Amino acid sequence: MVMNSVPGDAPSRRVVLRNADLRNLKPVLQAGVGVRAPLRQNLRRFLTDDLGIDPAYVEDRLQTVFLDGSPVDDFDEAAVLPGCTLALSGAMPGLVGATMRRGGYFARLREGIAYDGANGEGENAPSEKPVVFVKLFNRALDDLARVLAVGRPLLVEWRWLKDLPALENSGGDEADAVWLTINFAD
Amino acid sequence: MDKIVRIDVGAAGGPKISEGPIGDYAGLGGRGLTSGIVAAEVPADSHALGPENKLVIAPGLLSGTAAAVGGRLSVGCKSPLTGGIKEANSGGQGAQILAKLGYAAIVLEGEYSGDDLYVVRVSTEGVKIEADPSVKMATNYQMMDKFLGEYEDKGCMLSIGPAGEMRMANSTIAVTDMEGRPTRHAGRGGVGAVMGSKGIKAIILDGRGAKIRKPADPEAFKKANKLWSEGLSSNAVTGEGLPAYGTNVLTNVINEAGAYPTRNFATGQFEGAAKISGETQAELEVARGGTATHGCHSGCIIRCSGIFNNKNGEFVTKQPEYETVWAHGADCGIDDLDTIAELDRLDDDFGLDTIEMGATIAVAMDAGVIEFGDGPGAIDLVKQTGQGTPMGRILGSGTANTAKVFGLERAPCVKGQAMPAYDPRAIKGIGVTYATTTQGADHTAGYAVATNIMKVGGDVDPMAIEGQAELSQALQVATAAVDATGMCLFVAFAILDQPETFQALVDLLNSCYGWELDGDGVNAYGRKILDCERDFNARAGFTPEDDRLPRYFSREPLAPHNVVFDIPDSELDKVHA
Repeated sequence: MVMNSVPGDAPSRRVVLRNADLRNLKPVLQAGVGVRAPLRQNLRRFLTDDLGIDPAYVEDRLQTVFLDGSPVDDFDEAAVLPGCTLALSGAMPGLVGATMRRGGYFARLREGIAYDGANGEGENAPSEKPVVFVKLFNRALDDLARVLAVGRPLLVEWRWLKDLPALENSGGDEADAVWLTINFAD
Repeated sequence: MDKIVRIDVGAAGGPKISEGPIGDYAGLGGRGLTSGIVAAEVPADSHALGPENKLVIAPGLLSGTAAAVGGRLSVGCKSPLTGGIKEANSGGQGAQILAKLGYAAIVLEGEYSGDDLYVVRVSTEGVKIEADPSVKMATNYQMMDKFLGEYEDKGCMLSIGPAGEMRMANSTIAVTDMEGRPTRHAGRGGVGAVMGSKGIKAIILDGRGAKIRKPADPEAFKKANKLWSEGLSSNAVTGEGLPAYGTNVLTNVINEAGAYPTRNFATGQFEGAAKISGETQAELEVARGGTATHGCHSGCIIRCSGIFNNKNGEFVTKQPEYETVWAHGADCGIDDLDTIAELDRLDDDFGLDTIEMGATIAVAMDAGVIEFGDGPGAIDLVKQTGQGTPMGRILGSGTANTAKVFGLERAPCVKGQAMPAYDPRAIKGIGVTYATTTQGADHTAGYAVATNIMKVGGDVDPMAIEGQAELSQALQVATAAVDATGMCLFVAFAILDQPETFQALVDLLNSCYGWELDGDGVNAYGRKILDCERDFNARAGFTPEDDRLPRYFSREPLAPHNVVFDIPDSELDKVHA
């Protein structure tokens, strides 16, 4: 799990980073950040409308996608619910990579863990401010880090932020979380 | 590539070398040739470390040509780890140089006796062998220090470390890379022990003067190779993902899927996965002056390997692979890349299979020998193995034996070989392959080369449990065919995606040899290899009851999906029916 529970009163912070600091964000983007989300949303529309990812990129490049740990085959049938965890990845190598691929020929090899529409609502639903956790892997991490991280509040635990020069020595306890809004100076 | 050289280590008066034409084995290469020779010439009920076993080293059908990514080397024998037939596959420079020197295979055979250790030298002038007492118990990096001057210019060295000399069932044969380092290994199944049982410490290949192999139809070959290379470069996996992050790109994804075996296969997710992921590793390598993009053999355009330096920018090891990072990482509860890199270096130096070694240490941790997560403790255990201490001897005999010594049921092995980095409860199709391959638990035996051109898989319901057996069979056949060509298995994704790229591979074979293969022909080729391996294993005493996973995988649910391996035995038996 990205977080055991979503804090109801996490403070907000704004920070301006240099482009070079983007690499310090990559570990937490792999581990997962919280974004505010509608109560229920079709996965494709969540990616394009809520996260702002180009529709062509969604269709062509997001070849491996997990919803609460289950590989997703159909973006239009899958539902993003509050508290869920969404992981985005490019195409993966080898047989197992092909097995996890969206709509892949070898999908049957992962029978038992595939997304079947049965994901339930997470810890903080229903809520006034529902949160969905998003993880970025490999090419999606490189291509979408700025798309995800810039200009929107991200729910992050302090322990992930100690390598950011603009935020060193200014955090709370490591397990506490903060809504962080990032902009880049360059 | 029409000669086979045989070295009889038991000949009167000392090892005897004989060269002859490929003869009845014509048309075979790589795994096709190693399995063909082993199945024909090794009594299936012989002892793997006895005089009747043979070690066969063979480049692939396209090795030594200008074909991109064709430099994989096959090493075959009866395995001391599994007791069945074995093909261990390696990168490094060995295949390209051996093929250019004109050799389809080197066969080590006969009954070794005495204390001498031998170094074999192969060049355009032929093959020589001489005793060299100075190499006794030398590690692979020590062998590099001693012999690099002989092979660094267009050459390569195959060597065993102390583990192979001690005939440990977990020992490898190292194959030097483009920088001359012993970083690539024919790893699985104890092939190093068989080389050690023949008294051969090293085979030095001198490629100076050796010419690139000429195809039967040069124009058609050139055209096919262009299409082949373009297909690999344009594919998102082979052209982008693998060069950028290496095989360890799989860590985050497999972990997210809940299929990442953690702490001796106790759960399917590791809380430290992001710290040891391919993305994190690539950033660290580049920041320390290494690289995340590096080929393991000349002619490779996928370049999924890399260079891992320490904090001071000094070379430690090649970029640890996904399986190595998993085995020494999550399976042991270790989340530090520097510790994992050190373990990888030690494995390479002593000549130990990283998958088997990591899985063995995890079993030792589960048994309480050391704690899960104890990096220094794991390093000590590998050192003990390389030194041959009593504990090291136990660990060097493999995961199954170590579990037996410490009284554990939980040994994640099939046919005595440890499972690699995918839990079969979460990915049941992989479990079918683990159970039914001729090689023991092996993730590469069922790779994806199945395209519509090959018509594999048929019209089975994609989500039905009954489809797993048929698909696994098709994949095993296809993989055997690829293993025979010398191509790296990572071409599989490009072939799967792009039928024109698969056709380019078929055209490479046809234009190289003057054949007229089609997709069905490639399928038949792979089937023939698999059939001869199955036959050998049956003669060695294997029955359908050996094509099973350990019982606890059907009993203990794997978190987070809480799934068990529930493919019935009747389905497993259909794979090779």
